[in-house]
Amino acid sequence: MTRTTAQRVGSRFLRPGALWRALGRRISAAALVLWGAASLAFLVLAAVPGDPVDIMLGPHSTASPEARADIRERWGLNLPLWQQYLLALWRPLTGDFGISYQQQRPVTAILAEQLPHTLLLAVVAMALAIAIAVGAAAFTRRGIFRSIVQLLEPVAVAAPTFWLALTLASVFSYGLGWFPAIGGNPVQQLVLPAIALAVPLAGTLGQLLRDGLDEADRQPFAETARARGLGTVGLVWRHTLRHAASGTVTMAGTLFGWLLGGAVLVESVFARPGLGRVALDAIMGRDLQVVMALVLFAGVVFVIITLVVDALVAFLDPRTRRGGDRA
Amino acid sequence: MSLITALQAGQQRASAASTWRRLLAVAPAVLILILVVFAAFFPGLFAEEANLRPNPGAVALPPSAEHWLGTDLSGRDIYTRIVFGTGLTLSVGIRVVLVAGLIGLVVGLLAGLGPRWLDAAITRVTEVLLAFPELLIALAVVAILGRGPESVVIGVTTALLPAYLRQGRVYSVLARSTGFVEAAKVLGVPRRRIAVRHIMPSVARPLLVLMILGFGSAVTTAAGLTFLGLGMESGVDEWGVMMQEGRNRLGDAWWITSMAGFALLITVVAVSWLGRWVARTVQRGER
Repeated sequence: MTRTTAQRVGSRFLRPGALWRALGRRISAAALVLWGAASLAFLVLAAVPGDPVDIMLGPHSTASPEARADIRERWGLNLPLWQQYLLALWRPLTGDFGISYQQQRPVTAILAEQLPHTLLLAVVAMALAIAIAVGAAAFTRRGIFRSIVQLLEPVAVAAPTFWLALTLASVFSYGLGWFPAIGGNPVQQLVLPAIALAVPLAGTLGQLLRDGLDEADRQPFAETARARGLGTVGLVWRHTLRHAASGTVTMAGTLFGWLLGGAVLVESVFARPGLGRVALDAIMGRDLQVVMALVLFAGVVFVIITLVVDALVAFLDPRTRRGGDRA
Repeated sequence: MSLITALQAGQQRASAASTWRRLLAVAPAVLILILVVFAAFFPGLFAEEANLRPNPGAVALPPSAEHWLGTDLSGRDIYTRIVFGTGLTLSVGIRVVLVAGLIGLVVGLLAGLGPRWLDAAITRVTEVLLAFPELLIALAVVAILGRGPESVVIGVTTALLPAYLRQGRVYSVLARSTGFVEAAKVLGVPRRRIAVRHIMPSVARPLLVLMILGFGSAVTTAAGLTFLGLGMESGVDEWGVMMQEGRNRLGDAWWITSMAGFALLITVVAVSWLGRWVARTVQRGER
């Protein structure tokens, strides 16, 4: 332990061969995940009964067989299934995500239009959850507040997102009238949905962080720091929080995917635009192109989050870093 | 009495006292769960089935002495509906964690003991499943299979499976490299016997904890599906359906949605309380 943290980090990242190898392995693993996800989505949608042409035309269409054949031709639906599969994989690589069956618009335009709403909601909810979790776990190490928080956390974890959203709406929109149920400025529209998403997250992360802090408290280094006269708060901020954070960061990364699912519910409750509603409509309407684009998007987000989480954990916890030559 | 035996006796007394305290810490959760289980099997003990009939003269009444938790949009007593919906609501969650736990156990053992390529394949498939948001997997499955309890169970199980697969694999790989498994191999114990007698317990224990803790997300995911219109059929006595029915009447009849949600919340909190207690006890046993 003679080298400083900066040198250790540097030694890992400055060795070019190891860096490229690690990067190459990462990219091939990510590509494998994306390919698997896209294939699975294609298989599932191919297994769905029903004709995509019916979906495009609506249930009461009187289109002639010629018009239907024309549509099949245009969308490549008369090709053998394996060719459709290859097309579905190939087109996204060229930046062509196709056109939504339901909306008759380019999928990229739909996603570009809806993504900012969901991204804003997810990021605000995650930030709020982390702030609550750190506050609840780090500032209430002992005493009555610890007991209160410990009692509340399981409740927060267990609360179903949509029920929480509905309850918040009925209390703060209909009961107290603080936030209008319909309309209002963008900040007002964001508060309740973000809280509904953040509470279960905060409960999960808070529990994990507290367990981590408790474990860190029992380590010899914590004993040493206490022996030097460091108080409870100082111990948390200078030593144990960092020790406990790596598990929490990993969990936060995992839960980011959960946020995308939670957005489906919250956007439905609050009638917000966003990817959640796009996903719901696309799955219900078997809108292959949109589902495919969403799957690839979720896969890319998953890959990026995994990368960021690993980098953060390596930064927080030197034990997880591998030596440059072994990497 | 020598000093050492005196110390040991003191230790034993202390551990007996702490066992009692540990049991006491979980008592409220157990009490709630006993009530819930009784409500699931004998709803007649808690409420009268006659109150389940629609009553056009008592639509959307607020909680009162006569209707403890109010009435719903067709005039049914909400308390009675919650009691009679307990069985169906909880059976979905229980079936999900049982199936997911079993698959996690079997696949985990295969990954830990089978050939390397199988382990790699299982790891990749788990990663692919992890890349999908849970709720979207469940939605897609129910969209294909149609509504109803069976498709909800299949959908939610598929959605939550990656965590069980991962847990099963991790612990079976860990157990494979422990001293007692190595020793059994050296002694020439057959592979199947090693798997069942030596590795399975160390995989099953963490999976059991995950199953108890995962019960909550199973029930809430199922309720979320129902809320989006892709879960249970409407009109059924089930907590998710009840929450869904009140969503457009939040302004003037909040109790329709809220009460069923509270029932769900209390049950899930009690189960996860028990789960954390079991997890701590298992950890203590291993130390």
